[in-house]
Amino acid sequence: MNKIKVSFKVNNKDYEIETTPLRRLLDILREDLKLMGTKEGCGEGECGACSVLIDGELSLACITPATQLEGKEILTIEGISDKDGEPSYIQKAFIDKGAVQCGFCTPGFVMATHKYIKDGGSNDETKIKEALSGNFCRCTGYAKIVDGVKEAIVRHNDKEAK
Amino acid sequence: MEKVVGKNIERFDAKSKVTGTALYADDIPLNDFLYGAQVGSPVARGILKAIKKDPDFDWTGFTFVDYKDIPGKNEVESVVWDMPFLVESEIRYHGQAILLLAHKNKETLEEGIKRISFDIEELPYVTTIDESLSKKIIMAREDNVFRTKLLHRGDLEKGFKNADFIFENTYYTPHQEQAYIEPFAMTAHWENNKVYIKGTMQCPYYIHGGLKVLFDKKDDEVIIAQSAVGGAFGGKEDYPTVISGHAALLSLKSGKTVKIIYDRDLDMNITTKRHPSKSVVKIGVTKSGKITALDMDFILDGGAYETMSSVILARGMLHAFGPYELANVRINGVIVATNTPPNGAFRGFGAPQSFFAIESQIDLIAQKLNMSPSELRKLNFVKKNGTFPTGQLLGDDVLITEVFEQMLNNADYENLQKEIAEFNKNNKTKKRGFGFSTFFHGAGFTGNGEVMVASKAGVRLQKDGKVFVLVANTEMGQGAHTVLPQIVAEALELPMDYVRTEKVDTSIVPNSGPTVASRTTMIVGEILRRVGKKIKKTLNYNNESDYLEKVKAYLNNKDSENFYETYNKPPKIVWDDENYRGDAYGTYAWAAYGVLTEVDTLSYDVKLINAWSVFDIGKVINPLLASGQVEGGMIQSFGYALTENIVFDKKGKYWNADFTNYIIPSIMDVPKMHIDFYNREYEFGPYGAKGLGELPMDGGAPAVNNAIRNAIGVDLFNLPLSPEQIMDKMER
Ligand code: FES
Ligand code: FES
Repeated sequence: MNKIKVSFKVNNKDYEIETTPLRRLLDILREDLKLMGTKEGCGEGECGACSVLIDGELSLACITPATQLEGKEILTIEGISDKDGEPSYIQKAFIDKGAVQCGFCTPGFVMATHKYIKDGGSNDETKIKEALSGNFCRCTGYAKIVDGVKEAIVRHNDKEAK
Repeated sequence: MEKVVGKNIERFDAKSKVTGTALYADDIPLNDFLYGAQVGSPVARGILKAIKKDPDFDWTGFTFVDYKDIPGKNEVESVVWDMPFLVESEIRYHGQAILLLAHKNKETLEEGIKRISFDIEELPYVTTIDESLSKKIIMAREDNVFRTKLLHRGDLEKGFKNADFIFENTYYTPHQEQAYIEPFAMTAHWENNKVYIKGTMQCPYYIHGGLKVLFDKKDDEVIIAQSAVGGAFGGKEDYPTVISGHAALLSLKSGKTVKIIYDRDLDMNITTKRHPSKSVVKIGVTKSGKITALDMDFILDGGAYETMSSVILARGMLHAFGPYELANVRINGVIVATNTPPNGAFRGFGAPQSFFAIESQIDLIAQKLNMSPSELRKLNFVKKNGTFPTGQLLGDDVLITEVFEQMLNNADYENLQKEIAEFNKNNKTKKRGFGFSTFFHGAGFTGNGEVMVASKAGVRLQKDGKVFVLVANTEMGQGAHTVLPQIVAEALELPMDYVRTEKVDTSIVPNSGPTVASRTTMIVGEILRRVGKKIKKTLNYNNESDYLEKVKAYLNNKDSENFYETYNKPPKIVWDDENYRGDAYGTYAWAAYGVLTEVDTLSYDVKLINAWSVFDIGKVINPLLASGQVEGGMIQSFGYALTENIVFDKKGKYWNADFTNYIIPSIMDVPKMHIDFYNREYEFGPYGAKGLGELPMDGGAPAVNNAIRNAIGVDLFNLPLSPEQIMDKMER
């Protein structure tokens, strides 16, 4: 099959790769860039485990082909942690509120939460749920994930206030 | 010393999971490996005549494996070893593995799968319990029946004679998919005639046993290790043996490391699910609501092979009578065969099916008698020192009345009823209802299971004072690898940072039994508590610094020493498996659910508004983790109640093996949950703890059913409680 060249940024690093046009961003991240934090739960755009941000928009890496990546800025779970690899305030809030069980859905939920808070999302429970409605979790029953997001918003606002 | 048991100790794996660095099976770096895959049957039943490879395709670099490549036995070790790893001639279900392929390029492998075809003599097939029972088509054994069991107490005839009313109804439940978010992934390689497996799993020693049979190997020639596991819920209990076997066969033949990853579609199509069930429940009752007799046919769909269905049937039957004291009982258990993938373990293990039937029927009877369903229940609840139908004498830790009262209290039942009446008066097209369920779960294996497994667990004590827990029990999200060290730290009277869990690898850890049956905290935790106490006594230290001195002195010139203990049966547990008499479980954990629903009388949609639960799980070791287990289990049970259902296409294949059409609960479907525990310590559990994992799955479906009944007055008998079913009833 014909290969194309695409250049893009992932977590602020420049990449240029040669790949087939329909190759999924998910495979590019995991196989070429060895960024294993983005997960495949369904491969069909239903579960949100592969959520990343592309130019600031929440996107599903399993249904994003290489052709859509030219010049884009991609943010993955590996780009969320603090510089030293320690959990960010969102990730810490998830830990403290028990939002993590098997953890397979967690990177996706963290990305969706990051986007929500970045856009100034409020503590309103319905709004939080809507923002996370593209992500499945089979372990937690979601209650502690909502707690985690609320806690992250509080910590975010505290940080801003300082 | 500050207590660690009862504290919200942070999960040991929390950081790696939130940052995305935890290594699940498909994340582990590998060099020079092949991707493996299975080619499955395109029909649900038939006789394989030939395997055909497209001669126009370039097969360079492919490895092929069929049943003739198996060095040992082509039998999957289970309770009954009737399932093959690969089809020899008879095909019993759609997707059943016939041929295995491996290639270093994923895309080429996928193309190769398409270029394989089979000559098959197709045979007629059955996919449902009723088709199988009709015996028009016999597809397994002489009569499509894998197994029957009988539980009997008292005089059924007399019981029904003493009844003023008899109510008989039939309940059906469908397949339920575990829907762990991480699909199956397994890696195999060989070195010096030893096979190494790593991947997503619940029970490494099951795979260990299975691969010894498949390859005719000795204990130390099979090494099984667990990666991080992205959810399991029973779904990764028995099937891992199959996929591990496939990967190991391809690896043996190719001489390379082989990784098999299932995509969601394949995972849902061929791996085990919750058994569909049919329960015919006949209950005799007096005018005042006293139950005089229960007669129940409890039939499970085992799928194409029996495998471990008999133990699921046993647990289903041993919970089928509900939390009631019943003098006259007959429960007739049957497993039938169908041409569908073998069903297996799923959280609850037969009990969610039988509780749906009994707890729905109890409520139906209350309504027919014009009695309050809470009064009817309280009248019949098994009391302290009561007896279960197996003849099991219960102690004073029967807490069903207590947890039920506490749940009603938390829900403010009296006021809630008024609020509901008020709401329903003011709303034409929305009706609210409150329903509940009362249930229990026997923790640990059924009957003599724990004695037979004889679990061994231990710790490695190191010179630096660090303690590593040595167990085969896996962390799959439930928190075992945090809770077990908590128990050990408590026993050692040391802070948490001294203790953690060693990685699960059969070359390092003893066989502490499988991670199933809500047994890990209660059974394995208790063994570990004893290990901790033994070390404490042996070293005889007063405080932390004294401990560090004494460890050094004790180990002298050694770096470490392992300490082990094995399972001790609590006194007085006696079980007769032939006749189904005696102590089916060492203890029971008791629970009650209450659910407030809202039914839209135009669309027939059912919305869950509030859910209350009270659990007696003995001492709660880690409240944050425990309430997380409860919430997750509740939501799974509500999915089972309302939406989850497998449908077949015309070829006998699952039609909706994907997350688009198999509907698990999303964050939008979740009610407000009010979780509470009844803290009473259990004598034989570590620091008073009992099992928890499965209990939350048991009670959701009947509670929702009863809430719908309360809202709109219809009696529903089939899961899921779909809008179509409600419409059908309403318009009749
Ligand atoms: S893997 Fe992309 S949405 Fe499920
Ligand atoms: S924590 Fe397991 S799927 Fe969410």
